[in-house]
Amino acid sequence: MVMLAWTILLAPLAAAGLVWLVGIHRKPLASSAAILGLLIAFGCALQLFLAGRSGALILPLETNFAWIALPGLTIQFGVLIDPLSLLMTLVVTGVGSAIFIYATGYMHDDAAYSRFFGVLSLFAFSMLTIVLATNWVQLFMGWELVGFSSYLLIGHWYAKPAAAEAGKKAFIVNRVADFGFMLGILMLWAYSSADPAQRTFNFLQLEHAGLVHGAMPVLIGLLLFCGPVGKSAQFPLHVWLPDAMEGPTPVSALIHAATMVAAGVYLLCRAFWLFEGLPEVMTVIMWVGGVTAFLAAGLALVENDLKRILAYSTLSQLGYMVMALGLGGRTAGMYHLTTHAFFKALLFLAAGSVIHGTHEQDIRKLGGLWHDMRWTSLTFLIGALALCGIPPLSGFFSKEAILTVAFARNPALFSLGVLTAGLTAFYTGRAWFVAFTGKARGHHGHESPPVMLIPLFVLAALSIVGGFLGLPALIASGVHGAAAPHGGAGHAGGLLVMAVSIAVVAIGLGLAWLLYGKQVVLPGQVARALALPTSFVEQRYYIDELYSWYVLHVQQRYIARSCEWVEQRVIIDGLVGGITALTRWLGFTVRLLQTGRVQAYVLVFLVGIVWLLTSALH
Amino acid sequence: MPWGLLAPELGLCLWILVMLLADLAPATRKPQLSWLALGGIGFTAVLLAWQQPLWARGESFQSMLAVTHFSGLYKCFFTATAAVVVIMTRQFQRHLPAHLGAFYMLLFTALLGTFVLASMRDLLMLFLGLELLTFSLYIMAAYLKAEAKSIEAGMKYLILGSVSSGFLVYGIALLYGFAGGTSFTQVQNAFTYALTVPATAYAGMVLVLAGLGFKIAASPFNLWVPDVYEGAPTPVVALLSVGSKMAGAMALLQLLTGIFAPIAAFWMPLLAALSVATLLYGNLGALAQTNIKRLLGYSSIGHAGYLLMGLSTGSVAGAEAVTYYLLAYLFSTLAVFLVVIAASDAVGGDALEDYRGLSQRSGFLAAVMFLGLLSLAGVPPLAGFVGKLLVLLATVESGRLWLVAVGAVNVAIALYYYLLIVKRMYLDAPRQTQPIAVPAATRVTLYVLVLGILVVGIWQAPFLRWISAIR
Repeated sequence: MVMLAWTILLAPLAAAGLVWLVGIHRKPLASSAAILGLLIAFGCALQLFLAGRSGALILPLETNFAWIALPGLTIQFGVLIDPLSLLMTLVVTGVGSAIFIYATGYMHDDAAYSRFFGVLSLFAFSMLTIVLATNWVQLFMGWELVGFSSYLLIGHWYAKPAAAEAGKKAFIVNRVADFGFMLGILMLWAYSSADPAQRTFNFLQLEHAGLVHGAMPVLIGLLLFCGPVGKSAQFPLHVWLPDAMEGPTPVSALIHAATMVAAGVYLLCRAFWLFEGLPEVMTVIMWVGGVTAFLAAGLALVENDLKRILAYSTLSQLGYMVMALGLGGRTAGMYHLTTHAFFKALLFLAAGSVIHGTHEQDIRKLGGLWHDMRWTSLTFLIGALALCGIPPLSGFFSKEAILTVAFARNPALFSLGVLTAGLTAFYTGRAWFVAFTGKARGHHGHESPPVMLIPLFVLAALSIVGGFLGLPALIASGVHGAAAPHGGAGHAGGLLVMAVSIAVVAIGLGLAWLLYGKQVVLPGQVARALALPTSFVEQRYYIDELYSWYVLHVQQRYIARSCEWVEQRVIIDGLVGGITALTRWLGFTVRLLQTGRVQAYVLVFLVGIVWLLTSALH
Repeated sequence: MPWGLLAPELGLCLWILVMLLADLAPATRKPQLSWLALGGIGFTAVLLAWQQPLWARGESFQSMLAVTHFSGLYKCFFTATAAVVVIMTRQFQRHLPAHLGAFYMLLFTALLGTFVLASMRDLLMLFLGLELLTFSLYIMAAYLKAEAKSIEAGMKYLILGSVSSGFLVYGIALLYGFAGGTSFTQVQNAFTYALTVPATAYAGMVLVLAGLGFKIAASPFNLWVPDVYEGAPTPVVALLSVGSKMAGAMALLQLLTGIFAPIAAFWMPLLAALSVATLLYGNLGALAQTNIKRLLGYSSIGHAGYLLMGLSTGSVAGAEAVTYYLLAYLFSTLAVFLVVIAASDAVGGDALEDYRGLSQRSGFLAAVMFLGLLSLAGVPPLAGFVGKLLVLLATVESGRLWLVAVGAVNVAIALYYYLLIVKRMYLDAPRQTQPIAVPAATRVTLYVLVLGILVVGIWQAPFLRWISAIR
C-alpha cells in the first residue's frame, strides 16, 4: 500500500523527467509518457480507494522520510492518504488524464508540443505534492511549484505579449498572497509546541495537539487564508485568473478551473480543524467567498470572450466553495469542488473544441454551432446545465448542499448565493444561446477529432452522474468524531431551498432565452437602460485600474524611486564599489607573496611555524 | 592473525604489482590500461564491501591499523575519487608520454597511503601513510617530463613536502618523548593523565599540525599550491585537490578528536586563526588569477579554510560537518576538474580566456561546470551549500560568531570569482564555434558526479545518518 501511495506521487515526476531528458525532440514519446504517468497515478489512487472502501486499508495512511534533518528542525516529505486526499487525488488524476488525452489533439500542431507535456507532467507532480502532503512545508513547496508550472503554461505562447504579461501577472499576484501564507505557516510552527524540540509542521500531529496557549490563532488563521485567496483567486486578488485564459485551453481546463485553483479550497478543508475554531476568521472567509461569487457572476454577464465567461464563472464557483467552508460546510465545499471539476473541465474542453474548430472565441462572432458541431454542442450543453444546477445533474446536488448550509447559518449570504445562482443561469444561458443556437455569423466550424471528443464524453458522463456517487458520505468520513451537522438543516428547510433555487435558475435561464434566444428585447436596449451599472461592470469594477494606479503612481513613483536612490548611491556606489575596490587591492597584494621562488616559500613556512609556536607557548 | 582486516590494503598491493607488470604491455595496448586500473578500483570496492560487516566491531591489527566505520567511510570516499581520477587519466592520456602503467601504479600506491591513514592507530602509521601518499604525488606531479612547468611543479612540491615531513617527524619524536610510545592510546593517555603538559608536547602537537596543514593547504604552509596546480598534469591536480586534501583533513579529524582531544581548549583558537588566514589567502588570491588551474588551486585553499573552521569547533557537530563538507567537495571538485580536462584540448589551454563561450561549443560541459562551481560556491540546493551550512552552524554553536562572519564574507568573495568563469562560458563569444566531442566514459562519469552534487544537496538525511554512524 505504501508503494502504491508513493507511486501516485512519483509516476508523474518520472514522466516529467523522461520528457525533459530524452523526449524534448520526440513528440509521441513526450505525450505518451505524460499520459501514462498520470494514468498510473490514477490507477494507484483507484486501487487505494477500493482498498479503503473494502476495509483492507485503514485510513489515514501516512508515510514519511526525513528530508532535511538539522539539529532542532526536521522537515519531512511523505504521503498522507485519507478520504480527503484520496478524493482530491482521484479528481486530479482522473480529470487530468482526460485533459492530457484531449491535449494531444488540441496541441497537435504546436511547435513546443513536448515542452507543453513536460510542464503538464511537472504540474501533475506538483499538484499531487500539495494533495498528498503530510506537512505544511511540503504543501508549500507543492504550492509554489504549481504556481511556477502555471506561470510556464499561461506563458506557453510566450511570443505573444498578452500571454507573457498574463503569466507574469498570475505569478506576481500569487507571490503577494503566498508571502502572507508563508508567514502563517512559520507562525503555526512556532506556536505548535512550547518545547522548541517538539515543534512540528505535520498536519495530523498539529490537528491532534492543537496550538499552544498564548498563540495568536486569529492572526495565524488570517495569514493562512492569504494562500487560498491568491491561489483560488478570491476577491480582491482575483484579477489574475481571467488573464490566465491566454494559456492553451487544456491548461485553462485543468489548472485554472478543475484542479490548481481548487487547491485553496482543498487547503481550507485540510486545515479545517484550525479555522473551525476561529469564528472571526470563518466570518472573513465566508464573506470573501460570498462577495467573490457574486461579483464574478456579475462580470460574466458582460463578457464576450467564451473562455473568459467560463473563467469568471470559475471565480464565482470558487467563491461558492470558499463561502461554504466559511459557513462550516466542509462537506458541501469539497463536494462542489469535485462536481465543479467535472463540469467546468467539460465546459472548457468543449469551448476548446469550439476554438479548435472555428479559431474564434468571441461569442458575438460565433453562432449556430449546434448545426456544425453537434457533439461539442451537446457536451457543452450538459456542462452548462450542470453549472446552472438543473436536476438531476451533478451541479444541482452540490450547489443545493451549499445553499442549505447557508440557509441554516446566514440568511444574508443565502440571499447572495441565490442571487448568484440566478446570475449564473443567466450568463450560462447567454453563452449558449448566442454561440450555439441561431444562425452562424461568418464562422463555420468543423467537428473535432475523436481524441478530443472522447474525453468530452467521459467528463459529460461524470457531470451527469456526479450527484449519485455517494461523494458527501465519502468526504464526511474523513472528519474524526464530529459527525457533520450540516446538510441536516431540517428537511422542510431543504425543500424550501430547493424550490427557491430551481425557481431562480428557471428565471435566469428564461431571461437569457428571452433576450438572446427569442430576442424579444434587444440586449443593447437593456444595456442602455442600465448604463451606469453596466459600465461599472464592464470596467471590472475598476479593480485593475485601482491596482494600476497604485503600482504606477504610488509604489513605482515614491517607494521604488526612494529604494532606487538608496541602492544606486549608497549600496552600489558606496558599499559595493568600495568593498570590491578594497577586495581587489587585497587580492593583488596577496598575489605578491607568490614569488615563485621556493626559498621564499620555505621561509614563509618557517615563519608560520614560529608564529604557531609562539602563540601556542606563550 | 586477522588478515581479513587488511583485505582492501592487500588487494591494493596486489594491484600495484599488476599495474607494474601491465606497464610492459605493447604501446598499442596502453590506452586500454585504464580499464585494468578501473578493474583494480572495482576489486578494492568489492573487498571493502566484503569487509563492511567488520566495521562495526572496530578491531585493530597489531594495534597499528584499525577497521572502523570511520575508516570504512573514508576509504569509500578515496576509492570513488581514485575511480574518477582513472577516467580523467583516460581522457588525458595522450599527454602522458610513456609508462602509463606506472602512472596507474602510482595512483594505487597513493590510494594505499590514504587507506593506511584512514585506519591508523599509531603515529608511525600517520607518517607511513602520508609519505606513501606524498611520494606517489611527487612523481605524478612531474610526470610530463617534456614540460618545464611540470618538472618545476614536482620539484617545488618535493622540496616543500620534505620540509613539512621533517617538521612532522620532529613533532612525532617530541610526542614520543612525552608519552613514551607512539600508539594513539599511549599518547592520548599521556595527555589525559599528565598533571602538567610540558611545552615540548605542545610543540610536538604544533609541528604535527603544521605537517598536516601542508597537506590540506592551510596558510601559511600552502605557498606551493598555485605553482604545483598550474604545472602538474590535470588528473594529478584533481587527485591533489581532492584525495590529498581529504586525507589531510581526515588525519586532522582523527588526531584532534582522538589523541589531542584532552587539550582541545589549547588547539581550538589556533585552528580558528589558521582558518581565517587560509580563507582570506585563498579567496583573495583567487581574485587576481587568469589561469583556471591556478584559480582552482586558490579556491581549494579557501575550502581548506572552511575545513579548519569546522575542525576548530572541536565538537561532534563540527566533525560531522567536516565529513559532509568533504563529501560535497569531492563531487563538485571532481566534476569541475573533469570538465577542465575534457575541454582543455579543444579550447586550447588553461587560461580563463580560453573558456569564453564554452556553452556554445558544448552546452553539456558548460552546464556541468556551472553546477560544479555553484556547488563549490555554496549555492542551494547543491551539495556544497549543505556542507557550508553545517560548518557554519557548528561554528555558531561553538560561539565564535566572528569566525562565522569571516566565513560568510568569504562565501561572497568566492561566488564572485566562480561566477566570473560562468560569465565567460555563457555570456562571452567563443573564438571558434566547432562543437566539442565528449567521450562516453567521461560523459557518464560527469552524469554520475552531477547526480551526486544534486542528491547530496537535496536529500541530506541518509548521508547525515551515515556520517553520524561513524562516531
